[in-house]
Amino acid sequence: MTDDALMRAVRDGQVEKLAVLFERHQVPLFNFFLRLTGNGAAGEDLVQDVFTRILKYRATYQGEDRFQVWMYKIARNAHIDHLRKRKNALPLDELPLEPTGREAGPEERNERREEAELVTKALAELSPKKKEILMLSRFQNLKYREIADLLGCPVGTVKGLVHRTVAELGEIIARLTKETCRHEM
Amino acid sequence: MKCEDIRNRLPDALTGEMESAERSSFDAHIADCGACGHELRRLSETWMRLGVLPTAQPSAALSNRFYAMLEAEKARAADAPALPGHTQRWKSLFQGAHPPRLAFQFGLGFVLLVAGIGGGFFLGTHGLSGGRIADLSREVQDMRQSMALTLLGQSSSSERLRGVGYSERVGDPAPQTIEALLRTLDTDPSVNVRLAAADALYLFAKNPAVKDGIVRSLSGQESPIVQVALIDLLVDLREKRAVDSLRALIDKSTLDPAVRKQAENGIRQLTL
Repeated sequence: MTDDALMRAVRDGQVEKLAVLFERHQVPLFNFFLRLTGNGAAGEDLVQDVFTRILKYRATYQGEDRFQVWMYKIARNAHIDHLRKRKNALPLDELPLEPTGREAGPEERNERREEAELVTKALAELSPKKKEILMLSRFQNLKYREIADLLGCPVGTVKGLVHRTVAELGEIIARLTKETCRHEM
Repeated sequence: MKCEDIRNRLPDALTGEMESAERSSFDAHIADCGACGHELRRLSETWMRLGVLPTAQPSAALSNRFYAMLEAEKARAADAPALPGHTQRWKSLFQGAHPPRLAFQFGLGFVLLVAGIGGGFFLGTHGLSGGRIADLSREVQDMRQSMALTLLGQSSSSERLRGVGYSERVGDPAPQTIEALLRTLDTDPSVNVRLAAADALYLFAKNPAVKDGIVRSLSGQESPIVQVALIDLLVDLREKRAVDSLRALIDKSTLDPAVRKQAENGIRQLTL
């Protein structure tokens, strides 16, 4: 059964079908928030928030968008509200960055893990908007047209921003690599 | 294509969002133009490097919170349909009140007041204990299971769909309910009923018999829609034992190409 058919069933009263959508989307959604916030606990709270909102607003689901696009519209709103709440507590750029893997420990670190840490660090230097657009296009399986719909801007703007963001990220990674090499020498 | 057009299409090249006709002229330009080729390689390298980020798994607490919320919502939804009926009955009782009926209505009000006080006193002394509430809850569950079993045996597909719906609302289904759902998945003549049974079984996937049954069922299904639904379900459940069944499915010469693609994709995901 497609996501769209499941969501229509949820809207029409079969709320238990939301479990299938939760099982399908909780991991990608959690990783989306984890990479945006750099915080696992906040990521889980936001996933819960998204599914609470889906239940609350299920009657408004029209099926015009692909379910995933609709869900990420809700996810963006949840994230914006989260940022507003956190604004007075800690600026986004200063949020502590948790390692994305759960099995920390210096002895377990290998090349791939170091590379992941480098990329995570580089991502943290991007502005929230650029980070978000990169996550949506690279990991969330959304087309540029759908991202444009999500963000309410022309598709050309999305593509231009993706181009600039990937280029900027490449430069940050190159700089961080140089810094690490200098540190180790 | 000019360099400017190519630069505008670089993001499409990263995600693969390009028609094959466009792709060939794009590739031809990249092969000839050093600057555009360099820009594509630079972007592609960073794009690929993002793939190193691991996929983190949320903790079990997230699932627990979600299912607690869903249970609460299901309970609310189950209660909701009863309300209009009750409301209607009370409304009809008090609607159109006029003097000749008022005496009767005040009388009825007094009787209800006394009954309320008496009931409150009775509950206060005897009380609905936690055990009694648990008994009532069990009775509701048993009733849903027997409704599900009865309806799943009906000749009308809409009745069988209702039966699947009842089974989904059983918290901890008995083995015979699971068997009935698996039998429906295997043999029901209606594709819609089989799909609904697959979705219901997904909710009970913690039961080992369910996973076994779904893996077995896949090889016997003929409908491409049901085949794709079962493949998606097994991939969602990370059921690695499904890999052999998927390989056997791919070997079938009569298999729908879309199903074959989904099965190949499923094997890739399950063997990651």
